[in-house]
Amino acid sequence: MKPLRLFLSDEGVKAVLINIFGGIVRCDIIAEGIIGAVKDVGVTVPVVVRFEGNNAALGVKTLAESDVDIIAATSLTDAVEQAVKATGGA
Amino acid sequence: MSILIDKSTKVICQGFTGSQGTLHSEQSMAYGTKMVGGITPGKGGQEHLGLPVFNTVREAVEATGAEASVIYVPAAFAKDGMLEAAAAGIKLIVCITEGVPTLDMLVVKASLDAQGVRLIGPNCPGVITPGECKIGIMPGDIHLPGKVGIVSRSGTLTYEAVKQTTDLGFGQSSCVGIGGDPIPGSNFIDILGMFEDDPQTEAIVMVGEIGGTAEEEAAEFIKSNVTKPVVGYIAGVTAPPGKRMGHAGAIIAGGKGTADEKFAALQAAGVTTVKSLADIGKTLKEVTGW
Repeated sequence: MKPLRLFLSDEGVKAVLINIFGGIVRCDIIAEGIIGAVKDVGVTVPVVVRFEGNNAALGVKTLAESDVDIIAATSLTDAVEQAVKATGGA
Repeated sequence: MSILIDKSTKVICQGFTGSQGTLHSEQSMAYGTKMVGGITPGKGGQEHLGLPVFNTVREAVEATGAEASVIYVPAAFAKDGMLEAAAAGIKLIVCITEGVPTLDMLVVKASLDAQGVRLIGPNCPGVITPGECKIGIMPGDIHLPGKVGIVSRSGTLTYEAVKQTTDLGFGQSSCVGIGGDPIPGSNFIDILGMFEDDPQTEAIVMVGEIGGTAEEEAAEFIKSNVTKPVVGYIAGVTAPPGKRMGHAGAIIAGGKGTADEKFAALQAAGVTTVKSLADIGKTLKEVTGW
């Protein structure tokens, strides 16, 4: 939540990309954390999330079933492309 | 063959009964690592995870014949932990702990080198020989026994490289996280030399990052000593000078240690470099013809 606030305090930030490779942590737990943080902070820019590793599929599902608008990416490259697209960039 | 560890390596854990020691010892044992005991001073004689607990590394070595030790103790005690393991006859120490003071590492590195003890880390994910032995905190299930040797200064970036080589079916011979501290126990050259000598390793992936000169030194070494194809990536292309990027050792200081310099040094040594982490697997396929 703190990093999200920090990002959003900079008006130059047009999108947030969260890249998680779940080594020790489980992606579904991270997903719940992200959903909570996005709601609490009141994020106004697009958020792109890429999950890989422990429970990655469950993490994506958790994001998809939530009522917050988060873009789930399928790979690192896809995540970057989605984030750029979301900002309206090339 | 593999490097450093295999299915017969007997492993003990320092900081065994702590939360990290417990969690990762459980996972290592589930992976098949031959864990034979652990050390927590004051808890000697107890049993933990079905294994004996000892007060000292020497007692553990005498009772179990352990050859390798993994350290999960807090940073303030890591120096003593490493020196104790070496003094007890352990030949391979893997120190996961982050935040070990650089001054402590000056002492530890000199002492261990003089004793011929191999240290991996600190501030690293550890070492794994897929399908045989996992010493550290990496997720075991992304690995596949195979032919790529992976050496990296970063934990998560190692996992990215591992995942890609697994997805393509190449697998890994061994993966070594040398850690992100300014004074690591082992550097790229140590591990590259082992991969060159290991018949199972057919190609090498090397993941470096900004700060220091380890990648430049590795490039010099590769030029004259490594015959196997090497694919290299350097993290921190956009890092601003003077800012520490997560790892203690990842800092462009006095304009030196930039990603550009490191990429250039690796290319000059014949290493195929990738500008995106996501291209490691694909590029490996191209240079090896697999």
